[in-house]
Amino acid sequence: MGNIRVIDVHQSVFAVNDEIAEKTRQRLKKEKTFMVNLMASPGAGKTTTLLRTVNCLNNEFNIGVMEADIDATVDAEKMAEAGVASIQVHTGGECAMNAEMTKEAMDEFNTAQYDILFMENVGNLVCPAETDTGASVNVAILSIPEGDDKPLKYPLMFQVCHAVLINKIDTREYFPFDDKAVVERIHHHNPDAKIFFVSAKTGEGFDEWIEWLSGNVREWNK
Amino acid sequence: MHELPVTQGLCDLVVREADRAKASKVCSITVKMGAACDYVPEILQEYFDVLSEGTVANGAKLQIETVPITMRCNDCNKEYETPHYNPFCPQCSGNHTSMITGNEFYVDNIEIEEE
Repeated sequence: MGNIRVIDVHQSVFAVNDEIAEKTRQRLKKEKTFMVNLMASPGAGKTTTLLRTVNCLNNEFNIGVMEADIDATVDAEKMAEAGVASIQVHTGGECAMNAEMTKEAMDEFNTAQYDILFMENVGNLVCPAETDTGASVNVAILSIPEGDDKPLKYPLMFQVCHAVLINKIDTREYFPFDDKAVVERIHHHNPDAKIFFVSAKTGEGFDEWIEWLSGNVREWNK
Repeated sequence: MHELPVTQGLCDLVVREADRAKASKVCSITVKMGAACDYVPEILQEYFDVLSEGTVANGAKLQIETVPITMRCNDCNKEYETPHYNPFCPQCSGNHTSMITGNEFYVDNIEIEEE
């Protein structure tokens, strides 16, 4: 049996990911591409929201979409059918995109050509919040049927978001949902979060969201 | 399942450091985990045992030490410890606060056996 000794390491497990993420943000800034990391539960309406958002913005901006899923290509196919430039990324079983996967997808997709790059992350309110992808902003979608208590149950997701879309407001009559409580709960975790009440189905509430988003894109890309 | 990617990162880091130190075996790993990280220590250990198979780190015991959540108010400079993330300053009630500790997940040290 050899000698036993203790080695001081003092290194973060996140260090490698965070370094790549920071380089990605610098690259996005240099290439004048604004990247939105879109996160939500499965079924919150990420793809529908994205399609309507792209429709509202594609006269002014050149837009690309990266669809991240554990498997399948249904989301990228929906984007392609709508005439939106898209790439499907498979995480190989991992529950969220990390900075390295995002960088590889950006290289493959040649993202410098886009003014806005949307990344639809894996549907999940836990893992995507824990990993910095290098995006310019994080946006979460919470839909009315999921309930107004989600910011209590998944605090980190609402801490790391710059904006939250409360989606499916057209379903209000079927589900109890307290607008005031959800705003208070989100702002309790993140006082600076912008909150927009929208319906990706009808387009209600989209004007303010689009105005906020396009203002941020112009600021980033100038 | 959110412990899997972070355990892979942990395993890579430990193997790199153990190789650099020319270790023949890693006996234990001291990890400092912020109280806001909701990783389950038993699951970290289970994943680690599988992910480290065939490496010098296989068989190492993870010693997880919790780091409390501390926040600082950017308005009045008050520093406070809190059991859960709380962005509201207990002194001035302002909400311009930053988390100082509580989100970290790092390897503090490793105990190795030398050849």
